[in-house]
Amino acid sequence: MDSPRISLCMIVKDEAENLPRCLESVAGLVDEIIVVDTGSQDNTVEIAEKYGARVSIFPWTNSFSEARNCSLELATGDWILILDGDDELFREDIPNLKQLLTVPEVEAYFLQTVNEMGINDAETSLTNLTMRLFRNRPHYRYTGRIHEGIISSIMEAAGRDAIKVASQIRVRHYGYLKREVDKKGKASRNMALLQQELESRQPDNFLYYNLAVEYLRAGEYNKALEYFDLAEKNIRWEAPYASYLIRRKADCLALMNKKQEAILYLQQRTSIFPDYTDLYYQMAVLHLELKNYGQAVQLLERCIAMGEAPSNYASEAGVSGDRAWLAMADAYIKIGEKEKAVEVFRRQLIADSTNLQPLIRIIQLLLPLKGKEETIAYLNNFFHMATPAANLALADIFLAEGLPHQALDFLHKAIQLKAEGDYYNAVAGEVFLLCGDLANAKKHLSQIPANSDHYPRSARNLCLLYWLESSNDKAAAFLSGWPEAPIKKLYQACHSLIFETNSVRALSREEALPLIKAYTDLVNKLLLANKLSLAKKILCLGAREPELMLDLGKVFYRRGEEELALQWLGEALAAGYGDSQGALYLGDIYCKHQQWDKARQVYEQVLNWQLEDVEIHLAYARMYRQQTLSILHSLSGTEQVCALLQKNRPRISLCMIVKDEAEYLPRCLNSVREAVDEIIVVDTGSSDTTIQIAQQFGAKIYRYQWNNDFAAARNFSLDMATGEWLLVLDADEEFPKGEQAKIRSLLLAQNVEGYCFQLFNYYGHEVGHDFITDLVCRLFRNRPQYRFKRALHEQVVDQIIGVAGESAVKIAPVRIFHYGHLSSTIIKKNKSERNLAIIRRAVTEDPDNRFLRYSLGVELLNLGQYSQALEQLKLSYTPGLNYTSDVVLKMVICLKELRQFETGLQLIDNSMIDYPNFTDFLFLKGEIYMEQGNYAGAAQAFRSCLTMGEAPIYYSSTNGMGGYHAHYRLGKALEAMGNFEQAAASYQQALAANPKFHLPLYALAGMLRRIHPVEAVKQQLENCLSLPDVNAYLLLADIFTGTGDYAISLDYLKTALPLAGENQEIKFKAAYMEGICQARLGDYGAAIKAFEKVGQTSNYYLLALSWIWLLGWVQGDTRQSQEVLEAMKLVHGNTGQIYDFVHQSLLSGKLAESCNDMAETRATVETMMQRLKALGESSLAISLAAIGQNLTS
Amino acid sequence: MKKYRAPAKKAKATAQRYLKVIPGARDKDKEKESLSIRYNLGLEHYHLGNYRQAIHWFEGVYHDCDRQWQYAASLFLNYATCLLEEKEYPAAVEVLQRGIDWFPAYTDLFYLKGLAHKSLNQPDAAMDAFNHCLKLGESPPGYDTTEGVGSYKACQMAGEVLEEAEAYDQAVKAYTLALQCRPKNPQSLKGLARSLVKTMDYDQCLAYLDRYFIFSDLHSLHGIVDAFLAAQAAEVALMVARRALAQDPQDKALALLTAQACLWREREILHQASHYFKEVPAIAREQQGLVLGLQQLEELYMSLAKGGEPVGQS
Repeated sequence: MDSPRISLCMIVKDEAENLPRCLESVAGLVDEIIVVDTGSQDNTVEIAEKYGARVSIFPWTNSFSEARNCSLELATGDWILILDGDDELFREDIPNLKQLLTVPEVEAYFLQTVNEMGINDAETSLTNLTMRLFRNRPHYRYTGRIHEGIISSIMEAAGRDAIKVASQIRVRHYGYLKREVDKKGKASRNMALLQQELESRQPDNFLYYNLAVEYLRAGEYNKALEYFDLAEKNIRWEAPYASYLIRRKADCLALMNKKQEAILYLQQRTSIFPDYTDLYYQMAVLHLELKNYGQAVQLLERCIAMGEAPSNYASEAGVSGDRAWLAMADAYIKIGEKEKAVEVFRRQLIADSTNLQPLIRIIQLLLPLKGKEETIAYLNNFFHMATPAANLALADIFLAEGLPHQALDFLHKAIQLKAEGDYYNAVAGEVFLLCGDLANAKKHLSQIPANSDHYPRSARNLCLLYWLESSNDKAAAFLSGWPEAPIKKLYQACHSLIFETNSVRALSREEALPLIKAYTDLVNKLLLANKLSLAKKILCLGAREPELMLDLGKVFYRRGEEELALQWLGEALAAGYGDSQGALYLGDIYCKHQQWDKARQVYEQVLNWQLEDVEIHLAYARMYRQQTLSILHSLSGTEQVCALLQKNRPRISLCMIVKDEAEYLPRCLNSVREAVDEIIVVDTGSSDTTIQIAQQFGAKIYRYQWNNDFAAARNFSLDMATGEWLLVLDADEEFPKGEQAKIRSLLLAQNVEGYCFQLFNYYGHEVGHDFITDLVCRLFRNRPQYRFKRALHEQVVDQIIGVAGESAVKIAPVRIFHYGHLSSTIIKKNKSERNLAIIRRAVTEDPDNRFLRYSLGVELLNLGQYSQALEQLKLSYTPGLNYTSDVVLKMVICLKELRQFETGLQLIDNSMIDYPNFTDFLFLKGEIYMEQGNYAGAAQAFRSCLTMGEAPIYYSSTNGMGGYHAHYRLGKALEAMGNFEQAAASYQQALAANPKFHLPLYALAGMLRRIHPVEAVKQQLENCLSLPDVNAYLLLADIFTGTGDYAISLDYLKTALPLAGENQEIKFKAAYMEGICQARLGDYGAAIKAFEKVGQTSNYYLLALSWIWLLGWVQGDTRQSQEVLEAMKLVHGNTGQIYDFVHQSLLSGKLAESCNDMAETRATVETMMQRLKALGESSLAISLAAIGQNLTS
Repeated sequence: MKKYRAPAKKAKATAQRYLKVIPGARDKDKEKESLSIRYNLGLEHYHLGNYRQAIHWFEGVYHDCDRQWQYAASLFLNYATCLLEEKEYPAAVEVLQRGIDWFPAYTDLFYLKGLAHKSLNQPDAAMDAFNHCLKLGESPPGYDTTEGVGSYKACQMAGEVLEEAEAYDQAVKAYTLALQCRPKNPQSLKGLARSLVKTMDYDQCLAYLDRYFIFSDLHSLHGIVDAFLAAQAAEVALMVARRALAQDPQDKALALLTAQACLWREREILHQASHYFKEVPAIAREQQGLVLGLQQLEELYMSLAKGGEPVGQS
């Protein structure tokens, strides 16, 4: 069977320049060429005919479809191939294309169009699918004046399945190059056509889209955006142009300087096209422009992970490759993270080892950062340069960096690997030349033939070689034979200056400017060859051009010629010509010479030009640091502060393990960032923004698979640290102000391996006076032997003492605040249950470990399981350990709770021998006496506590045991003894010691109320508080509610409300309290109204609902109670269910069927009964009691 | 922070004692409840910082007293002070106006009126009041008065009003006047520094200072350095310090002061950079040690320069 015939159909106008390229690309493929010319003024028609085309002249009708259809009418082949004059078929794809024609059921193919983008030449490319190949059938015709389409006619006739994608067949399109667009006036032509189209028919999304694109191209962004919005309205997202519309609209927004909006828009659209890499890349670029480097990097990482977008999208080349790598590295460089940029380039090189650009960038970045040796070591470490070409390339890169001796090393490797060829000779010649081996240089350079691509380079080097040999004649002869070129003039001028031949011909500015690089290269090479004298001879050539002065200055700086650098850079800058690098060099020289004002002027001048360069800002700041140090170095007693300000101080690595700490982490890191040099964050599985937050603080993030072992995770973080000292902190901790400075000074001490800090464990609802202190080793030297042990309550101090002895660990007066025991945190993190599970497992694995037993005892104690806790604590007891005092203390607590008072007292007395100044023991003794009713003994114990004061810091002690708690409990004891006057004094002292501790006020009120009229008590309590204050009034209201003086309470609430301002929660609290008072006063209607004022957002909402429910029953309004139940269920399902259960039981007079939580239900019923008792509503209380009874039985 | 007149601790203790006595006195002599007792009640609450309660008592006395009453002038002063503390500026103006009508030579009342207008953002009225203070001079003997209300304090406040109105040239003049009365007044120095850097370049700032002031001793130098640091013009602070150091290179305290100014300038630059460059760890790294270094330098300086006396207000 004959192979199918192909007709190439084109419409052209003035395509003389492009047409040959297009037609040559299809030679041998197509059987006929149909060219419809729409009015060419050039020789397009002649060219087409030369290639055998059938040319038809078609008068332009302002419709691309009509012209296209005209070409189709003329075609006789079985298949139509559509190309434009500025297209070109990839010739290597022709065999594949031919195969497509043999597939019987296919009517048409989308081919891949690679749109070259750029100003004059292709700088990047954008690929998209276009309908280019289809069967020649009379009903397959184009529609649309512009951006004409044929798909609809094919789909209509043959169905969607008859159209296939053949992205392996590529057509290169040059029409989007700016020069092409400008040349042809495409924009204005397109705009006119589209406007006509708009007027002639009902517009659709595609027409709006095309209009938007044209307006965008014309720079009319508002109009463009308007059309983009229209195009998007009711768009079918599966339309071929839809995905690209998103990119262009985002472009438009960005050009309107609405970058943030553009990002948001792109982000939303990624849900429609989640695999469209370009959208993420575009977002990354926008973030870069907004200087959101962290987010940009994340998005670029994502691009790289995603790979190029599938072929059905219009996609830019490199968005998941080179461009992404480069942008990412650029982001890191912008924020001064050059080592990370190196890492990016390394990854890029691994991804594509044929591209040497990343290697060049790596070397350029590493050399100033690490120096020659470390750079080469890095290269040897990470790259295996096994080919002569790779080693030659490296040699060449080092040459370009002005390091010929390092280049020589790589050259030797290349030689060993049998390098050969012109490039090899060119590189080898230059390396030997600059290393002073002129004979070898000549040997290699002379081997390069004049027709070689490498000849110009070798010629320049050969001329230089003759100069270095001082061979005037040879150089002159060589120059005379040099082909005429601008560079020849430069070398001739230099030759005259070097040999003082008096025939110097000055170069004009026009001649000189293109030669600046060659000239500075020449000076550079002369300096590298240690020929400063020769370099100086040719300097007069460069005096006139500031661009040259700048480059020369840089060359001199790099070669260590500071005086010359100062001269040239200074002159360039004075002439208003400078860049950040030049300024950095110049500033550096001035700083070295302590010419601070001049350095300042340089930096300020350049900052006026280039705010974008973070390096300049840093160098400018650094100048002041140098200035400070220069002053301090001359003063005695400033060694410590100098060490602190210099970078040679010991480095501290902060090591943290975290999981879901987004809420607390900023507080922690802010408190410590000034003190540490490195932040290591080991994440054990956060699902919140912990990692991003840590990144913002510049932390090094590591992920760690959580294995229920805190010590292992901690040790992993220690392994990652590079500082000489390690600081360990948890996210729910922070250093109070002023502690950071102390930490730094600790590092200068000799013979200390670790420091213990005082940990303030806050407990209760808020940070205040309620805390327990503890000593913890948190700062220690970074030695591999010092590692944490134990899965929970991990410790390191024993290891340090074991290795270095007890004297190597000191107690430092540094405080750490720990908020992890605040009730809110515990509830949030469900710590107790987590800890118990871990510790139980650990005890099972290591039953003899006493510390684990102690930890288990503590957890059980916290959970109120005193008997089990006591058992574990007994097992953990070992005299003489640093935590033994705490073991005993907790054992006594257990004994007290288990009412084994005598044993407890005995244990205290015995332990006081070992721990005579541990106030907490005496306090507990007082508490036990209180329980026993021995108030005199208790008073004595609490007085002793006050005499002793707070326990020393080496005990794990509760704050207030020697202070406000003791005063309060002493008051209680005295009150119980009937000594009201002294009791009142004790309560007041407790309040004075801790004004936030309100229990004494309640106690005082209760006591005074028994002996004084309410007005007198009011006066006394008011004197104790700072009034007017809304919280104080609420407190008074609450106190008098407690004493049963509800009317007084209501008065206080009325006084408080106007002071609440906009604070809704306070208003809700007041409303709730008012409700209770009104209920107690018997005004249930007013009470309900008050409870109803409590808003849904309030903590009191559920409580208020429960009261309304109860009062509904009290009033016999069960319907109201029923309504409340629904709200309760919404707020707290379980509570709602319980109330529903009680409600149904009360209604039916018997227990309702479903009761999920028996214990909780019983507790709730008891609360209800208490409330009813207080209200004096006995009948309902009896009904409830019956339910409670039934629940129990 | 009590802005207008901070009660001393001792006064507070005394006031607490008095408060216990006065209600007793009131009980005993309920019918003859005199203006004086009510006034003293208000006064004691005022001393305790209970301004709201003080106002309650003063208000009653204010309505009941006449011009001849012995404490009338003081009542206006104290009542208005409490109203200012409670931010009741229009009421303060009203009270003060009545006071001024009765006691037109009482400078303190004009001064407080100026403060009230300043807080009400009424610069013209405030300036009128402060100018009148300067015209009157200090309050005549026999009045409770605060030193400076007829001189440097009025200048200082006028400077602040002018500064808020962005009339920096005039503010400079006002602060300069204030400083001529009280050369080491830190508030005036700071105001002057703030206004100077708004109107002049660094060298001109220095030249201005040279023309009008002699900052010869360390205390004064520290003051001016602090003032420019507070005005976020560490470069001027540094220039001042460096110049002094150049004159006496052996002076260790001066050297430390200069070093501090250097670090402040570095901090300023990094701070600005951190605003411009978000998420740049390199800036954070540079900042490391800076704050601690400043703290330590300050400590060194204090221990060296004060000789038991605090120096400056940094």
